[in-house]
Amino acid sequence: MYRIKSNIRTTDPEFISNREQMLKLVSELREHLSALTPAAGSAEHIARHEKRGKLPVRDRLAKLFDPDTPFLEFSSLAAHGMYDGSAPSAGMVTGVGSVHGREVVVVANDATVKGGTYFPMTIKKHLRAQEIALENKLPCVYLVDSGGIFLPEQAGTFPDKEHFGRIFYNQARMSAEGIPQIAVVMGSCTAGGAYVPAMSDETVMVKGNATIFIGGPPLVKAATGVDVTAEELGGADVHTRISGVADHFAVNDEQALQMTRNIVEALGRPVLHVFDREASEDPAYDPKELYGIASVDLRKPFDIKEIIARMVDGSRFQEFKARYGTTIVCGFARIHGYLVGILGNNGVLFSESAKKGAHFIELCGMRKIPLVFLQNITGFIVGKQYEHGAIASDGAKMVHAVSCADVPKLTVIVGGSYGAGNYAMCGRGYNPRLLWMWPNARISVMGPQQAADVLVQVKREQLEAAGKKLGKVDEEAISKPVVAKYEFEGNPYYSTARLWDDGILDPVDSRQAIALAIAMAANKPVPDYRPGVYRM
Amino acid sequence: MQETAIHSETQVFPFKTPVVLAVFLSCALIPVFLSLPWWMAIGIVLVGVLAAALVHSVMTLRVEVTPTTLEFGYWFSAPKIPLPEIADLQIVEIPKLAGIGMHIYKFYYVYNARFGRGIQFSTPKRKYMVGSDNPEHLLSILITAIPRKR
Repeated sequence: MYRIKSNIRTTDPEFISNREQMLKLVSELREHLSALTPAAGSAEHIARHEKRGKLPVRDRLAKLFDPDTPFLEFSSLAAHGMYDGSAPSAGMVTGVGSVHGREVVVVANDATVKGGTYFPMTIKKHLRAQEIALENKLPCVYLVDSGGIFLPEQAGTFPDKEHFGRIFYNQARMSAEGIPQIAVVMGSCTAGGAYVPAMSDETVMVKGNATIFIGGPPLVKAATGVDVTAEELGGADVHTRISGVADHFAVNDEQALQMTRNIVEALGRPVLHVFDREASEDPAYDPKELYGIASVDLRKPFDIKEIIARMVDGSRFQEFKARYGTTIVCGFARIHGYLVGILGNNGVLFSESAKKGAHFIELCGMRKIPLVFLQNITGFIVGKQYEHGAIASDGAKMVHAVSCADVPKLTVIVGGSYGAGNYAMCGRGYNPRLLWMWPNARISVMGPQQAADVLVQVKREQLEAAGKKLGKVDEEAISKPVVAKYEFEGNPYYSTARLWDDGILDPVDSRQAIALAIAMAANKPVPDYRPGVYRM
Repeated sequence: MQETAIHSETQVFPFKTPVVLAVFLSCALIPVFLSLPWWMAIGIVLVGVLAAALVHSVMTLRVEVTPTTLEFGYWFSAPKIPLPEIADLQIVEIPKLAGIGMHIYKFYYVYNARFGRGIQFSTPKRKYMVGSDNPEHLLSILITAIPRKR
């Protein structure tokens, strides 16, 4: 592979200005993330939690995982800015870490946030972690410390298909797929929540703090008039000695986590899919230069090859169809030694670029090479000339190819993600194994100004049909709030809060995250490529 | 205050240097072959320099997009079009007959520095064709930058 020749000058005023703006965004991101350590709750709640002899959630994870191994966390900023800020990180930590050298998905309640109760976004986060475990055939460890559903939000947590009940449905289906699940009960586990340990392969309970029951002491008292303590009703001793609901008795969090490590050790080795991998090599260009390349003002274009050059091993890239459909860049490279197919945007998608993209995705599908999508896309080209040239069916070819490719797909939104371009470039609806956004990224059906203009145009046509005219002041009155709404809702924090992605990445960390995701995906065999019918 | 360009590109005629040299030499060599008074010889050489500069200029088309304008052309003619005025933007094959340089036709103003493709658009006053080595990229940038016409 040839090395990409960079045209970036780090002394360029534009580069310096970009870097300053991006660093500001990155430091804002780090500030938000550091507030979640060692747990997302207030200092007072953490102190109360520790007083009970419980470890904060991130300390639990540190003890569960192999020392000095990376933890790929999902949606750290879930529910950010939602529920009046009362559910940071949605009261849960999820991600993939290594236990005895084996990747496991962990779903850990954070009891310092509203007692670890489930908000709508907590459920979404839990289900997403299970989905990742299922898609990648990874063992799943549940660190349970939750009071169940957050009752004021019952309408958004209980009745629907993708609500609380789905967690247990998933557990059964995952089990049927041969995915080991281990529950470590370290606090409350009440009502429906009791099914998490009860449906796991093996369950560990911590003496004194862990309880499992369908109805807690107040309910028992109300229903039967019997006074009973939580420990007598469903403590660790009861369930490991009398009921058999749990299997292992631990005296404290540390021992419970060590027991969990022992259980994972005894799961046996998974048969890994062998992706082509060589020794890892640093990019030839400094990845920190990404800060100065990706612009915060999304109207300013940047060459996606400059991004690729700072993400791939040795900055080497085997470009595919370099002279055709130049608004999409396709090619092969290695990331931490893994051979990947990369698609990146250098403008709107034309018929040629869509066909080139579809062709490249097919190649990777057939060769079983993971795909990495670097999205900075305004959408497909519009206009009479292009409609007559069948842009609709050419775009559909790419959407079709990306939908049918069963190789691991990973998406990083490095700029804008607008319109149908989002679909063709493996947006959330196209099942990327993981999808991240950079702090400068934006996502919406169209750009804010375009949306405002469309709505103004619609209103104008309505009024003209009624024989009236739309004044300049009225135009502003329609346009301004729409622009403001799109700016707000297109923000990566708005997106990540609602789990439209799996997290916001510091651009410099992208390379590491992609490699971890590929290692994670190797736990499930890649099926043969089976495309459907392409409209020619 | 001058706006920062969000994109700039330059289209250059492939054989620019030999052509410019040829234009200059065709003037500059006249005094060598014809015995002319010194003032006429200097005048012809100066004409050669000017002609070469003009040819040099039309063989280098510069296009610049700022957040509010599209500017393109040569040192002697560089229209600056406000982005909201741009409509019917598309990629076209610039007719070979349009030649190289700036050309004013009944329906179009053509600016280019080499044969090939470019973008076409209309403004309230006239239509333009502007040459580009990567019209898809230029079009993408303009589509992103232009606020849609109300």
